[in-house]
Amino acid sequence: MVEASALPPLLAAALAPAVLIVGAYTAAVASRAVEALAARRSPAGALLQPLRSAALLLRREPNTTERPDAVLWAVAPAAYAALAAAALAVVPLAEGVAIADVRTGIVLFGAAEALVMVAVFLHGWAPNSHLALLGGYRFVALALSYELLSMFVLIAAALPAESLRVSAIVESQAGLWNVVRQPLGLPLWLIVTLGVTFLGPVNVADGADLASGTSVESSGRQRLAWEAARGGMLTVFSLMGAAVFLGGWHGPLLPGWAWIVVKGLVVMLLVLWLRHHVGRVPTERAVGLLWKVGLPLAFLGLLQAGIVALA
Amino acid sequence: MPVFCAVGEAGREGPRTLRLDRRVRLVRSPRHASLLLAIGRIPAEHHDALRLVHDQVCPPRATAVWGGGGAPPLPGAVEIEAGDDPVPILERLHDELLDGHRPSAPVLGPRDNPVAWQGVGPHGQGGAGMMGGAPYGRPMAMTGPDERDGLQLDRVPVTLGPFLPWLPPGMRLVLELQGDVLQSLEVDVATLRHRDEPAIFGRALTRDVPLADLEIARARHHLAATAELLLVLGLDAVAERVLRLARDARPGSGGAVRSLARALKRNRSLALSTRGIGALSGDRLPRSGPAARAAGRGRDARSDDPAYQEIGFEPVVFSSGDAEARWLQRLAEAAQALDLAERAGSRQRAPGPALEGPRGARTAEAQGTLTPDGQADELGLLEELAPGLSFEAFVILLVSLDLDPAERSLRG
Repeated sequence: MVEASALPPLLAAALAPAVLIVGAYTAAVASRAVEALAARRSPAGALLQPLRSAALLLRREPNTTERPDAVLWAVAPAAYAALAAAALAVVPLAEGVAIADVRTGIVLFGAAEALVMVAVFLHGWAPNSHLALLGGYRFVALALSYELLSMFVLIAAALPAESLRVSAIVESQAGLWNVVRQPLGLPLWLIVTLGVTFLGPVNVADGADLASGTSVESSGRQRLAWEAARGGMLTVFSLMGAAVFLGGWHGPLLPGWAWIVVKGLVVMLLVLWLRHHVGRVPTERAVGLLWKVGLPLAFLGLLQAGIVALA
Repeated sequence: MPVFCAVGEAGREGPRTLRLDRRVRLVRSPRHASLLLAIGRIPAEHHDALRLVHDQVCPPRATAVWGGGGAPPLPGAVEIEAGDDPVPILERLHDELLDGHRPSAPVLGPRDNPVAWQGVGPHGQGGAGMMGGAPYGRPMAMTGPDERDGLQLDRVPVTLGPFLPWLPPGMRLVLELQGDVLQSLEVDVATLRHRDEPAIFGRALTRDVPLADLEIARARHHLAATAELLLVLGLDAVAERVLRLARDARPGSGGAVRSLARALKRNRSLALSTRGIGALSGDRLPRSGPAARAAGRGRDARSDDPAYQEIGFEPVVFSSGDAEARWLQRLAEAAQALDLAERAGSRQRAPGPALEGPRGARTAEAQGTLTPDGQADELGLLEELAPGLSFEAFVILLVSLDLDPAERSLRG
């Protein structure tokens, strides 16, 4: 299935963790900067703070709880990061370059996204703690609602490209970006991204009412791994948003990869702006809204894309 | 530096001040902290819980007690006077810890389970069959009818607090959860000596106080209560702005509060999170205070107060009585209080028949707020309303009520 444009395996194996780590750092810096601006103070120091926090976490002794499921507790962040890496594989990183630009790109991306539910639930289940488990429950209750949106917006974007390959979707936007052609796509994608990284209005898994939910018992490396994986996932979904809705590598003057970075950053900043300005909506309401408003809008987007494709 | 605050009596202002200091990062779980800071007097009933929280802070760790007074419940903790700025001391502790000049605070225990494993029954858990029993003294989750759809699911007994960040100090919750739905709730309050409110309200019961000071204290209280709600919704940055407004509150700064209230109203998500949640009406209503006025009922004792009549006081009233109305009410009253403070000039308020405190009308004689027969106190209301609510809705209800556990403790 993998086409000739795929990278050599060794380079690909090195590229995925590199993108995730750099992305996680970028996300941490951006989040702190956006939070500082939202709190009306100077974002100075945002560049170094994440590094300092990471160093502190690395020095902390590992902790445990009473009868945790130690294996699953360690596996959960790794699984979440691995899913981010799997999703990243199909995302274009420069013109015509992706780790594995497969023909069924958005199917692979969707499969990785769907399995996130398992990783997050395990993270809530493993520490054998009430608040963490409750976070896991709530995430499972919510996850399908945003995942459905994601499927429909991606299919709508694939229609004009007549291909499920992500690079083909980018290619189809040479004349007009999807953000204009399918105006519902990007806003819905921002919701999907908030959902999969459980931030802001849909932070049901690690919410403040649960004193950080699935992360409540995590410390040191465990916590660093989880937060880094979350940042990595945010990066992947931001880059995917840039590719599918903002024309990926298309743009004047700058090389393709630079456009991808800039546009990915724009999507990330939009998501983080929402994270710091929109409060958590109770799960039941969030599910109701996503099904009653989000999903019909996604259908509408699909219908519009279908009619345009047939016309 | 990541700090977890264990807040005791008269310690509530502590985390609010620290939140505005960029050198400190307040965390929501002791597992995320390097430093444990006990603020205010920790009631004796909660000393064991504090030691447990202490042991949950992963080494290397250090502890400090700020304004504890008397014997600190944490051996080896650095003591900080109530009036001192704790941040430089915390910074020093943190640096010493990282340099290795200070040994990590030892485990305080107990390491063993308080109740032995009850190895009876076919599976050793102490119950019959695969069900029941209380291994290590903790009852196993048992099935029971569901409040929502009658499905038989496990009812999980959970104890929360007393140091969960959104809980009022001195309060512990014993609840049963089925999935994320509360089946029962019992509020357990420690022995508290003082009301959780600015000291000036206590003084005003018996002495003349400057009216402007009283109103500024009220505005600060209401703003801080609003910030608590924003924090629980994950809006830390907005909460920080509200706390800054509270810190900088002065006569005539009501405009800034009003513009913030407008911005929060425009932010539709806050309505999504709070509208229709925890609506109080009819008998389920405190007689006075912002929570009652947010439901369109309840008088404001300031209406009958000559000092307030002189400067033209009109009570603010909302009608829907839900969590949304309560934060709108508090912000409106905070803005109004700052306007009143400006109009009051140097006017003094003489002790009258009733004083409108930040949580309701009070008299010098009555220990609690005035609650006539047949109307529950607010903690009772909480216990009554909780069953059937989702955990999230319950937390929003609790935080939006701005409860003071001392009400129950002082009434005996």
